[in-house]
Amino acid sequence: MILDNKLNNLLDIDQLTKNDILYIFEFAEKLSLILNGPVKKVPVLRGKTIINYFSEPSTRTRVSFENAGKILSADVINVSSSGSSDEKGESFINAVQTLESIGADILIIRHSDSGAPYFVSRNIQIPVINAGDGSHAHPTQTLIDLYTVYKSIGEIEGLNLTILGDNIHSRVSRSAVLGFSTLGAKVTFCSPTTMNANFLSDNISKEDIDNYPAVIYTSNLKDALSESDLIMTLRTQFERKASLVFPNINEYTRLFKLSNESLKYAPDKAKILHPGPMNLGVEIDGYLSESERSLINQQVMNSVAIRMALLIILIGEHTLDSI
Amino acid sequence: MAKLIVDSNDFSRMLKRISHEILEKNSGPDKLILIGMHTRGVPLAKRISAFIENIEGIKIPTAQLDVSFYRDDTDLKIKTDINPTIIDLNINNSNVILIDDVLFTGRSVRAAMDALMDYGRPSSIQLSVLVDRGHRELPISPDYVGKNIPTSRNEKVNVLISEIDGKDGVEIS
Amino acid sequence: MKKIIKNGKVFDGISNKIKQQDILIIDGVIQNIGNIEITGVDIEIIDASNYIVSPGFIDIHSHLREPGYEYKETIATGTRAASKGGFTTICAMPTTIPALDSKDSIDYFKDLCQQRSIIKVYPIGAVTMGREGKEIVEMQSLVDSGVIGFSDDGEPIHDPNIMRMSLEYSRMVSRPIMNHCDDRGINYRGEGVMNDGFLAQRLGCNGIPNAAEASMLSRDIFLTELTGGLYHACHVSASQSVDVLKIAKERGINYSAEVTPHHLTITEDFILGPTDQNRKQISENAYDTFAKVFPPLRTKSDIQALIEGINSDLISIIATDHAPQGYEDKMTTLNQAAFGISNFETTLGSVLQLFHSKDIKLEKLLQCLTSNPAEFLGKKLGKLSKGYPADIVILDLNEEWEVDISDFVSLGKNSPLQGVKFKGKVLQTLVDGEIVYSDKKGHDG
Repeated sequence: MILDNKLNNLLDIDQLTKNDILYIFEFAEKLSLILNGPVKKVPVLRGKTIINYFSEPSTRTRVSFENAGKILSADVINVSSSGSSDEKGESFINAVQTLESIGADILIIRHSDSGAPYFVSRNIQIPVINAGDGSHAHPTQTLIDLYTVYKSIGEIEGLNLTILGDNIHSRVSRSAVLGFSTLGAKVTFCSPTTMNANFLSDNISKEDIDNYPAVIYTSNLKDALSESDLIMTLRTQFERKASLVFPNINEYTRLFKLSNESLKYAPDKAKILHPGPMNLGVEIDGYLSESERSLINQQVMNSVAIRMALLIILIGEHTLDSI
Repeated sequence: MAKLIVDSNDFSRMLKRISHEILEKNSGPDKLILIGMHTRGVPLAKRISAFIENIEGIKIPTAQLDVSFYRDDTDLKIKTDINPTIIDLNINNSNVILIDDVLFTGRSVRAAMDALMDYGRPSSIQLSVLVDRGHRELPISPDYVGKNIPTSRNEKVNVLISEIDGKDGVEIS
Repeated sequence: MKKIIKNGKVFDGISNKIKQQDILIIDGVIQNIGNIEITGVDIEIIDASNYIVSPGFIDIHSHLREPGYEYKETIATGTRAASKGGFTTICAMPTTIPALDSKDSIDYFKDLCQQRSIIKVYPIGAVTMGREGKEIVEMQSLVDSGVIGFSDDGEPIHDPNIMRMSLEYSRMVSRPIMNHCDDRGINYRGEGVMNDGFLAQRLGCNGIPNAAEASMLSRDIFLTELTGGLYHACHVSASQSVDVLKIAKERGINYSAEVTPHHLTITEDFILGPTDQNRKQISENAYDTFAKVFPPLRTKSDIQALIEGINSDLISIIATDHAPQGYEDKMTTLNQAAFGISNFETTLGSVLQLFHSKDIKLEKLLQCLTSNPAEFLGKKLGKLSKGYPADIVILDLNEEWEVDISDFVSLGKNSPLQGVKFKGKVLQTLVDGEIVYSDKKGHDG
């Protein structure tokens, strides 16, 4: 089994074919054996240096990448923007090029500006993984979500995914649309009209209809959930309140919160995903995240295996060989 | 064109002899653990365990080991069939017999020893192979050999085992 | 000193017909135009057979950056780049430090130009002190110092009262208010980085909607009707803006409007990178900061509307908005990068694409670059006629060349057109009869 396209970096899901995604799953499956074994360490990336460059606060993504690197015996260095060169006036690109010169074999980048990993990738030689850029993309999260669904449900082709909440500001939702569509799922956005990326869904022009997967939009929660197999609730991004996207939290939760009550609109088999971190009580009720409907804990568990697979694919010597 | 050089009867005799040698060298079955290296080492270990049980009346514990992630050669292939490393035994202070089908460059054995060290500290590690085909790249020599088969580098030695291949034997091609 | 330009295909900016003529220049002034038989030893002959001879181009909107941002551009490099692009007169926006908002700063700027410029430069004064949108400058005193208009360019005039008062006042000082239309309230409080629409949402970027431009333009147009002031719309980019101008024209409201070469020729797809503009699969070259410009590059339908705007005389001026930036201004993420395109050296190549594609007639393009902006300035410029200064450009319409930003004379190498192939080139630029640029000899000729 091989990748359809040689990967030099992972910037977004649109670089991957269905076959590529399945290859990554198979790799992750193999690697999760290490995670489930008594000794969580193998020397696959011994002597490699991974730098996590996070210019935006993040705990789970950073720790997940860090753990993935360490299990594979790589050296992992964390650079966060507080205390880094950003604040001393050094330009972003200089900081990044310095990290390359220091001997990094791969950069994992989280940045608040959309496209920052693209800019970095074309200006350095080593591979780059996009760990979330602005409102644009979060490809590793999407691979984790897909893998979680793949493991717990199986075939993704034909599933209905409802993405609930603030999709216009969401990098998770943008990558999810690309990833789930590539594997044949149908995507529905449900949000207040002010939080909908309408040029990607109901307002897409004729010229761009082939440039993006078909996404259905509705502001009616009942309609959105009625045929759902998967419900992905997005984090409500309070820090972007500047755009004044809903009148107040009360109105939002009344119309859009996933609760036991609203979940009744969905088929019984529907599973719940959330990329985290959650605003419990706003977009989702706390007890739901712990319920048997929820795949949220599996998402977290699968994150390390997926990220290990990506690290090996980008900087390791190993390839998968089916016999 | 593959040439059969060991038939199933000889195959069985070799394993039986190795079983005796293991018992002899270790003065009996105490503290022995047989670890089969994936893929064909795994059934081989089970066969040897069964022979020893026949001889001594004691069942020797077996385990399996996948060394893909420990190999150091470039352009490594990780086999996609699921072959978990299962060492749920305490290997500390035991005598571990690593069991593989073919000994060639010695790199898998080196990787296997590395992996074992991650799981514990055995008193000794011994190596048993069905075929030693030469061309070592590392200072490794087997303690128990079924058959030495001189080969050229580009020849292929295939060990067949009925649990996987439907019959026992050794072919060269 | 006598010069004669022989056998050129002359566009004189008056008849708007191109015909073969000779031009006699004595002491920097056009002495005669027609079929001229002249002999003598002390006359320099420039053979322009097969080439277009036009009045030198006039740019009413550029950024020279000096004083204050000499790392982006200087008067010396900017005017040399302009002359390479065929410009003989340019107008400089007050985006300098200090802003051109006082008699002193303008006198200082004019002094610098006197020493360093190789072409004619006119300053544009700020509308408000420090371009901060709060307090109107001493407009009459600035006009007396030589400004040809007022603009806070880069900073739209938000306060409707300031706009209204400056328009009222413009009647008295007889020079126009040139506004950069963008309503921040609509443009994510000024955080938009590219055209709003599919691509912006695909890339997760804040978009600047056409409505942000068109709504402020409508306000301005109706304030112009209200006040009878002199109004100029800078770099119109949205099809809706062209519709607003149509209404203005129908109502007989007096305005002028300009469009840039980039808004006329390239789309937002350049944000995806100079070559691989695939809207489906975003390449590593995407988020190209060289294509970040304000107003943003728009879409094909906007381009179509702007072309119609020119053809129907709703827009009469092509202005470069030459906005050179330093390396570090653009070597960053799209969000953080400065706006602007270094434009002088590619303007002709860009707009001639519209001639070659038969979208706009050559005569119309040349009018928009010469006689129309001259009329806007109210100066004796932009025509080839007896008594006019010999500001002339000689063009080869058919020479093919490829843009290489490292060849730019401008300090600003920020052009999204790297590698683009153009047809048509400036061969020689004359200011007051002197050759300031020649394709063969550069600026030494």
